[in-house]
This record gives sequence, structure tokens and C-alpha cells, in this order.
Amino acid sequence: MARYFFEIENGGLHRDDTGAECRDLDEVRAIAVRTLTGIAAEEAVLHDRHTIAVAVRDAAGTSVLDVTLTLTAAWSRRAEA
Amino acid sequence: MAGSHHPQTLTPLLRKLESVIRLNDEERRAVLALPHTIRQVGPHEDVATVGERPAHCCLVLEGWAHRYGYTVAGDRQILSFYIAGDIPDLQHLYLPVMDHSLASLTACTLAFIPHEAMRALVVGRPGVMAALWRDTLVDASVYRERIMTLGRRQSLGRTAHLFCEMYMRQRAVGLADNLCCPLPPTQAELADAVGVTAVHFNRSLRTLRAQCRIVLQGGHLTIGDWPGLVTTAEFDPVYLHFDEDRRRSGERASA
Repeated sequence: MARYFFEIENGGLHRDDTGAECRDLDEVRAIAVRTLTGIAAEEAVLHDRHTIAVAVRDAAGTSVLDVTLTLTAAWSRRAEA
Repeated sequence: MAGSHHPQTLTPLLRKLESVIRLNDEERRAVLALPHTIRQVGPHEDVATVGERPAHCCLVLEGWAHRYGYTVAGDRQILSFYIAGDIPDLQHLYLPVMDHSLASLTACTLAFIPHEAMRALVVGRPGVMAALWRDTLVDASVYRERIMTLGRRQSLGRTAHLFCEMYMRQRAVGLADNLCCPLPPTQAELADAVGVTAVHFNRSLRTLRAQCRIVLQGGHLTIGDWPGLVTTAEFDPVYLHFDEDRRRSGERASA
């Protein structure tokens, strides 16, 4: 188990000073992906194009993993509001 | 385990039962006279696990307990939290085999009441029978609300809802007031209760704090904006079924 820090970029950088204990690197990736899809479900539903990223660092501050999620909604026909 | 029969030991149970129904004097005395064994447990100790056949009801006298399950992959879901006065395994009076695990969350004082004593208590006491039945039905109602919350609300709403509920439940049994209450679970535990990653939970918590809805610090919740928190949570306390007098005073306090 080691502690990793997940910084979220979603229109502004959201620093993580709490971190999360992870069993291994597979869990690091799983947490990063689930966090992004969870945030997208909550915050991206009102946008046609939305990019959310998470940068994972270890306790020493070294970069471990970057994950980016881009959602694109392309309308076939939609009247201008 | 050590026996204890101090007449006031079971007061939390009486407060809980009377948060949903009024009992008469004889019924109150009978509840307080229930035979029981006191056990002190540390944090995160299993009280009963899947497959066991408990012979006692576990009453929380102090501290927080929780029900939980794990997926095969090792992800925990906290199913519910229990506070002083709650009997988390009351349904096992009639369902012999545990279908989930029950454990302490914080250090707890628990009272174990033999099943036969609980069954004898309700004989000839329809008021107590109704109170225990209502308690079980409210537990089911809380689960319905959780299905609604976990199925259809997002992290921010789930988090706000949990805070509203734990404040109202503690308030109903005299453990909270003035929009402040204990909230001892860690962020990781709260995240496992609302079904999001700890990272996402932390983001929701920060959002609620930035909106001045709440402050969560040192195991203590302070609600800064009750109407705002209720709106974010879409919280309607009707599912908790507190009696009308208490609900009216709850609304007055939150106005």
C-alpha cells in the first residue's frame, strides 16, 4: 500500500492534499478512471464538449500517471436556443 | 463480556423507540429492564458476519457501527451507519442467518440482548411491538431512499443527503443540535458509503465547503446553510418517519 495524490483538471486545477491509499498501480489507474467518469456523469452532462484530466503523483511528488477523458456530443440537427 | 443491569443503561434504546412512537410507563420500564450483556469493542471490529446465526440483538449504546459488503474485486460498499439507540440486526429476530456483515466503525459500547428476551418483551405489549415493527420499517424506508440516492443522484447530492440524514437522525435521539453533530467516519469511509472514489468524494466535500454549506473537521460536521444543503441533497425527511411533534420542531430549527 502506498499513498498517491490525484490532481483534477476541469476548467481549473483541483489540488489533492489528502491522497488515497492504493494496493498497486492497477488500483491507481482504476481510481483515476472511476473518478473521471464519475465527475463526467456529474459535471459534463450540460456541455457539448468537455475534457477532464487527472494527474497522479506519488508521495515524493513524482508524476505517475496522466488520464484524460474527453466527451464530445455532436448534434445532427438542433435549433439554436 | 460483563453483565450490567443498571436501570438507565438502555436509555438510548428507549429514546430511539420513542422517536417514532410513544410508549406508556409500563412499556418504558419493560424496555429498560431487558437483560443484556455489555461489550466494549474497538474501531472496525466485526460484530456479526455473513452466514452467522446470531442469538442476540446488538444495541448500539455509544459510538458508530456500520453494515458493509465487499465485491469480489475488493471494493467495499458501506450499506448504512448506526448510532446510539439503533439495533442494526433487529431483523435477525426473525431472519436467522446474517446476509451482510455488521461491524463497529468507531470504538463502541454495545449491549447484546438475547433474542428470547426481545420476543418475551413484546408479548402483551402491543405498543412495544408496534415500536419495534416501525423501527424495522423505517430501516427499510431508509434503504429505499438510499436506492434513490445512489441510483439517481450524483456525488454532490449523495454527500449532501448523507449529511442531512445523519444530522437529523442524531438530532432525533438527542445527539445533535444547532446544526452541529459528530460525523466520525473517515473520508474513505464516507466515499464507500456514497459509492464514489475517495478522490471524487473529496471534490464534492470541497464544493460543499466552498459554497459554505458545511464544514467537516475532526470528525465533526457543522452545517452552515441548512436550506442550501437540503436543496443540494433534495432532502425530504418524511422517509425517516419521526413523529409529527419532532418533525415540526425539526423544521422550525432549520427555518
